[in-house]
Amino acid sequence: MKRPYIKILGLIVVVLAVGLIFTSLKSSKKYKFNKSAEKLHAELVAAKHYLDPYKALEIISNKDENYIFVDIRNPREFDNFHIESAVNVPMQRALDEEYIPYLKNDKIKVLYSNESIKADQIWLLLTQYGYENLYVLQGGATYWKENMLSKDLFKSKSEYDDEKLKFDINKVKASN
Amino acid sequence: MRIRFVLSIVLVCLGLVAAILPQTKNSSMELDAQQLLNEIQLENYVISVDEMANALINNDPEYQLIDLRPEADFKAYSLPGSLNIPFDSLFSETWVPYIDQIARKNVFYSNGTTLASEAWMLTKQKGYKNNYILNGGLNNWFATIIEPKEPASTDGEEAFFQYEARLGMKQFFTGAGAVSSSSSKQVKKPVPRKKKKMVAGGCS
Repeated sequence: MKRPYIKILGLIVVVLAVGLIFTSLKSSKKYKFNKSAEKLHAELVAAKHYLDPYKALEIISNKDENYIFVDIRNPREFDNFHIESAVNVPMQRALDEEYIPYLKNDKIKVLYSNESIKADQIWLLLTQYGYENLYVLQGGATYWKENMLSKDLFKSKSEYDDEKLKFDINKVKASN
Repeated sequence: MRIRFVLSIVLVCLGLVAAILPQTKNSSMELDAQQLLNEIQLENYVISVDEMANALINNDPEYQLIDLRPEADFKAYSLPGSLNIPFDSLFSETWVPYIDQIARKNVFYSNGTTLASEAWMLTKQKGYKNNYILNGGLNNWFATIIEPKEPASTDGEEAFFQYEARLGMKQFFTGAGAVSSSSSKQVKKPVPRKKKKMVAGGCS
């Protein structure tokens, strides 16, 4: 009578312990970040991961093989308009295995979205995840469509840097 | 006797498991890449300039604006009631208690959206809660609240209500009697109090 009781108890304990340890290990392994937020923050402060659209155009017209342009918008937007030679990696699937070859290679990957916020977010995500040589195209597809396709390029140069203040502070203050 | 012995072993085992668990739990408070990717797409961390303007007008204590620009820019101009946490010192000891808290809604802003979104990503990954970003930053604030554009005559009624509300907000933030550069006959009317009511009703 005594023996099976003890055996069952022991079994339960072992199963519990192994199960708990296993699940806790498993859940933390996949998609784990390689870089701490603090380390990534230091990289962001340096702010060296932006590529301005005029340099990008130079790269494209020189057909520079070292670069890949990665469009992170959805396939419908990509089909509608995309930068010449770009590949489509929809952002919601950026971590899917099928896209690893586009993102993990020796080339310089230039991410772009409609503007630049989403591309910047994916840049943070992938860089922290461990991917290297990623850049963000300033102004994104919208700026490209409006400014980079015309023949007299530098004539109507509007602002592509999202963080540039577009208003005159003194004027705003003066109206107070 | 034997049962007692086994039971105590069981307890020790469970204790060991419990001792291991909190550690892994703590680290899993930080988000992994897939979780963060999901969070990015929710878009519920973006606060519109209209919502923020209303909160400021109503003196809503729930919102805390956080200006991420350098100190010099902050001193030159900032939104009312902002706290300046320059992006460089986001994770400094002084500021972490402000960005890792549960009392209020922090609303990050900068000139555009980039810096605020970067700060949001970093704090989100750390597992900090209650951080939001101001959509379009100061540039959008100026374009929408300080210099609102009159809707086209083809726009719906909603657009005109919103415009009226924004004129009221503009008056609140730039001081009474300010005449807009694009002033039309309609512009002179707004009475701040009335506008407030309209905003509360029309905002969804």
